[in-house]
Amino acid sequence: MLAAALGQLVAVLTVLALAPLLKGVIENLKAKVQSRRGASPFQPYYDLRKLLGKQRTVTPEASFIFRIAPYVVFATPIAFAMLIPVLTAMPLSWALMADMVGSGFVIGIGGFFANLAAMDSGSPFGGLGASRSRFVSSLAEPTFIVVFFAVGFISGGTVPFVVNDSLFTSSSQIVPSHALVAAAFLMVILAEAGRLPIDNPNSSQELSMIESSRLLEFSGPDQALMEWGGFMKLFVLLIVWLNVLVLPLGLANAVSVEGFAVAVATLVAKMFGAAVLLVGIESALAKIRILRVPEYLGGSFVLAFLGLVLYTVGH
Amino acid sequence: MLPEVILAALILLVSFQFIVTRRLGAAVFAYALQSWLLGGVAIALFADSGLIELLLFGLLIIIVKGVIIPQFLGYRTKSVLAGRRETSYYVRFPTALLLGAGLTLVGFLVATRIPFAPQLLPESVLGIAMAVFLLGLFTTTARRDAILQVVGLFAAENGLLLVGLVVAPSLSLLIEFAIVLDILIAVLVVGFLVARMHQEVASTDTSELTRLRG
Amino acid sequence: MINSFLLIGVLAVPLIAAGASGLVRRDETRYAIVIPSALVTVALAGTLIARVVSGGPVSALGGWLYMDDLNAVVLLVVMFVSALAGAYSIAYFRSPAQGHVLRRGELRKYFALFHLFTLTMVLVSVSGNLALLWTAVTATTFASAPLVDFYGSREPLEAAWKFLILAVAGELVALLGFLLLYAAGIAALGRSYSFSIPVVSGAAAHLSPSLAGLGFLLVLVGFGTKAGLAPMHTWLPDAHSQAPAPVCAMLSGAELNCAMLAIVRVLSLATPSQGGKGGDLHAALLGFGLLSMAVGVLFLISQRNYKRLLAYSSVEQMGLIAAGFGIGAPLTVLGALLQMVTHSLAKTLMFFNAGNLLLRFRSTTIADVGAVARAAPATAALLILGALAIAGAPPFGLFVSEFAIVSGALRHSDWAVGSLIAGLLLIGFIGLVVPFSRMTFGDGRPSEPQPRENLGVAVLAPGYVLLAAVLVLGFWIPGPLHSLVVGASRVVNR
Repeated sequence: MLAAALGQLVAVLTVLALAPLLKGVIENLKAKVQSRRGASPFQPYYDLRKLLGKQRTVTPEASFIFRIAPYVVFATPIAFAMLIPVLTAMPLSWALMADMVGSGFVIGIGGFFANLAAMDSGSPFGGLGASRSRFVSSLAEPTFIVVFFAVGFISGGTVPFVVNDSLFTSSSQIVPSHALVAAAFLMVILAEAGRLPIDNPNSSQELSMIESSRLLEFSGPDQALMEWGGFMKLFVLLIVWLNVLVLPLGLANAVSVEGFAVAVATLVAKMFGAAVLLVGIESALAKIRILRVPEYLGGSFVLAFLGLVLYTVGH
Repeated sequence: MLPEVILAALILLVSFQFIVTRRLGAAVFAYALQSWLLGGVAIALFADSGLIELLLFGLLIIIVKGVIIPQFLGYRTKSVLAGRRETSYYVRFPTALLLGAGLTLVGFLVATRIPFAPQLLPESVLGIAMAVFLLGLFTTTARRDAILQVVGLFAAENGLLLVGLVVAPSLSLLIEFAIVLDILIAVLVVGFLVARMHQEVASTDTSELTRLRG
Repeated sequence: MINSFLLIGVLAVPLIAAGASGLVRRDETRYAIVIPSALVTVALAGTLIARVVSGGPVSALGGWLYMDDLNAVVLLVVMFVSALAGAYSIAYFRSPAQGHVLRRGELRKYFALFHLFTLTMVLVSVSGNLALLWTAVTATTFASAPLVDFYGSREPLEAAWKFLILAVAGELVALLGFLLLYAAGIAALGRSYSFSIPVVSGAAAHLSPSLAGLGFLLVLVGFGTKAGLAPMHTWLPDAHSQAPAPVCAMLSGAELNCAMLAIVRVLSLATPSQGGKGGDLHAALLGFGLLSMAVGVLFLISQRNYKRLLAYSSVEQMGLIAAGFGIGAPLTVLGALLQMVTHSLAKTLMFFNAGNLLLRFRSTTIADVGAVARAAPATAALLILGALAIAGAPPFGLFVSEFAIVSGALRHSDWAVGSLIAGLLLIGFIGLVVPFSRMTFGDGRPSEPQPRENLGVAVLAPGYVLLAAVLVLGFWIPGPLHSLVVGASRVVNR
C-alpha cells in the first residue's frame, strides 16, 4: 500500500518535472528545423523560476475565481496523472477512481476554470480566447467520446490500464481500428493542447491566439502555474496517447527502483519521439483558419468512428 | 505478422490524406509515404517467410514508386505549378471525408465476402487493401486537378499491390515487375499530357476541359 | 524454333520501325518505313496464323508468348487494320489539307507512337501469360492516349485525358480481377504457379469458383471500360472522334478488340469451374452487351458529328459482340468472332471515309457535308457502300455475322433477347444509313464554297481494299478463316 502510494508520488513528480522539458525540447527542435539556434531546452524551467519570484497583480474587477483558477489549472493534470499509466502497467492506489471518461472530466475542469478566469478578468482578449477555446473543445468532445467508446468496445473496459492491457495482447484483427483511433486521438490532443494546426503556441498576435490569450491577464506565480499546468496537460495527454494507445513498452510491472528507472528512461525516450513527431507536424502544417477547425475535428471524429465501425465489421 | 498489419493500417491512414489535402505537393508526398509503407510490408513479409522475391518486390516498390515517380510528379508540380493548391473541388471537404469513411467500410465489407485462403497476411489487411483501392479511385473522381486525379489512380494501384500481397504473396516477380513498369510508363504519358494541359489551359484544372459533349 | 522466330519477329518489326521512326531525320524516310514494316509484319503474322490453323497452338519464350486460335483472330484483325492504317496515314498526312495543320516534328511523334501502338496491340494478341496480357492491354492505352492528343488543341487534349484516366481506372479494376483469378488457382496449382494461359486453362475446372467468378466480373467491368461497353463507354466517343482518322481506325477497329479478347479469355478460363452457375457470368456479359447496344443506338440517332456517329456505332457493335459471347451458344460465339473481324474491317473503312470527308470539307459536322456524289464519285461510292456495310446490309460481311448472332440468339436463348438485338440493329441501321446517304446525295450547305481538290488514289486505295474484303466476306468465308474462327469458338466454349 505504502509502496503503491510512493509509486504514485514518483509518477506525479515525473510529470511535474518533465513537462516543462517537453515544451523546451519541442521549441528547441523547432528552432533547429527552422535553422535557428533556439533557446536551451531548459528555458521553460528558467521562465518558471523567474515568474514564481515575481509579484502578482490582479485586476480589481476580478472575483475569487480568477484567484483560484491557476491552482485548479495546475492541479487537474496532476490528478489526471494519477489515473493513467504514467510509469506502471498496473494500477496504483488511486488509479481506479475514474475511467477514461472520468479522467476526461478531470482534465476538463482545468479548461473550464481557465475559461471562467479569462472572462472574469474583463479583458476582451480573455473573453475571445475563452469562447474560441470552448468552440474547439466542444467540437473535440465527440471525438474523445467516440475514441473512448472504441477502445472500450475493443478492450471491454474504459479504465486506461485495462485498455492498454488488452489492446496489445489481442489479435491483428483490431490493428486497423486501433490505428484509426490512435490517429484520431492524436488529432484531438493537438487541438485540446493548443498546438498547430489549430492554435499557434508561439503566436504573439492577440487576435489570432486561442490558448495564450486566456493567459494574458495573469502575472507572476499565477502565470507560472497556468503555464506549468498547460505544459503538464500536453504531457499527460501525450502519455495517454503513447502508453495507452500506441506504445506501452517499458512500463514497470511492480513498484521497484529498477522498474521505475527503466520506465522513466523509456518515457523520456518516447516523449522525445513524440516531440520529434510534433515538431514534424508543426513544421509541415500552417495554422488553419478558425472556421475550418470543424473540418479538422470532424475529420478526427470520422476517423474515430470508422475505427469503431471497422472493429465491428471484423467480427 | 503484427508489423505488416501495422504498416498496412498506416497505409490506410495515409490514404485519407489524398481525400483531405488541397496541396498538390502534400498529395505527392503522401503517395511516396504510402509506397514506402507498402515496400515495408513486402520486406517485413520477406523477413517472416524468407521468400526472396518479396524482398526484391519491396525494394522495387520503394525505388520506383517511393522515389522515382514522386520525384517526377514533384518535379512537375514544382516546375509547372509552383506551390499550387487545388482551388475548386467537386466534393466539399466534410462530404468527401464521410464518403471516404463509407468507402473504407465498403472495402472491409467486400473483403469479408472474398472467400480467399489466408496466405501470409490476415483478412484485415485485405480489408485495408480494398479500402485503399476504393479511396484511390474516389480521389480520382472527386478531384478536379489532373495531378491529384493521377495520384489517386496510383494510390489505388498501391492498394491493388497490397491485395496481391494478401491473396497471392508468391506471385512471380516478373509479373510484379511488369505491373510496376507499367505504372512507370503511365507516369511518362501523364507527365506529357499534364505539360500539354498546362500549355493549353494554363492550369491543371480538368474542369477547364468540358467542351466535348453528346 | 520457327514458332519462336515468328512470335518474336512479329513483335520486333514494329519495335524496330518505332525506333527508326523516332530516330531518322527526314519525314520522307519515316513514310518509307511504314509500308515495308507493315508488309513484313503481315507476312510474319500470316505465317504464324497459318501455322496455328494447321498445327494448333504455338508458344515461345517459356510460354510468355503464345498463340491459339482465339489470339490468332485478334492478331489477324490487328495486323490488317494497322497495315492499312499505316498506308492511309501516309496518304492522309501528305495531302495538302493536312499539310498546314501539321507542325514541325509532329510526324516523328506520330509514327513512333503509331508503330508502338501496333506493337502493344500485337503483344496483346500474342501474350501467353495473363499478367502479360494485362500489361499489354494497359500499354495500348499509354501508346494511344498521346496519339488522341495529336492535333494539339483543347478538345483532343480533353479526349485524351478522359481516355487515359478512365482507361487506367478500368485497367486497375481488371488487375484486381486478375489477382483474384490468380488466387482462385492457388488451391489447385500451388502457392506459386505460372500464370500462363495453358496452365490456368488446364486447371480451369478446379479453380475456386467464387474467386474465379468474381475475378471475371471485375475483368469484365475493368476491360469493359476499355472495350467501350456501356455505361463505362463515356470516353469512347470523345477519343474516337478527336484523334486523326487513321488513329481512329486503329482505336475502333483494333484496340477495342484487344480489350474484348482479354474479357473473352478470362471468361473461357473462369466458366469451367462454375458448374451449373456458369450462366451467371455469361448473363453479366450479355447484360453489358445489350446495354451497350441500346446506348450506342440511342446516341447514334441524335448525332450531328459524323465521327462521333461512328464512335457510337463502335459502342453498339462492341455491345453486339459482347452479347454474342454472352449468349454463349456455338452459333452466337462464332458470329461474335466473325463480327470482330468484319466490324474491324468496316469500321476502319468508315474512319478512312471520315478522314476523306475531313480532308475535303474541313468539318466533322454532318450538316456541313453534302453532295459528295456529284463532286467526287469515287469518294462517294466508298462512303455510301461503307455505310451500308457498317450498318449490316447484305451482301456485306457484317450481315453474315450479325445474322449468325441474331439467329443463334433466337434459337438458343430467349426469343426476347434475339428480337431485342434484331430491333436495335434495325434502328442502328437507320441511324447510320440516313445521315451518310444525306451526306452523299444531299445538297449540303450551298452558301459555302466547296473545295474542289480531288483526293488522290493513295488516299482512296486502302478504303477500296477494305471494301473488297468486307464484300468478299459477305459471300464467301475462306477455308482457313473458317477453321480459325471455329477453332477460336472452341477455345471460348470449352
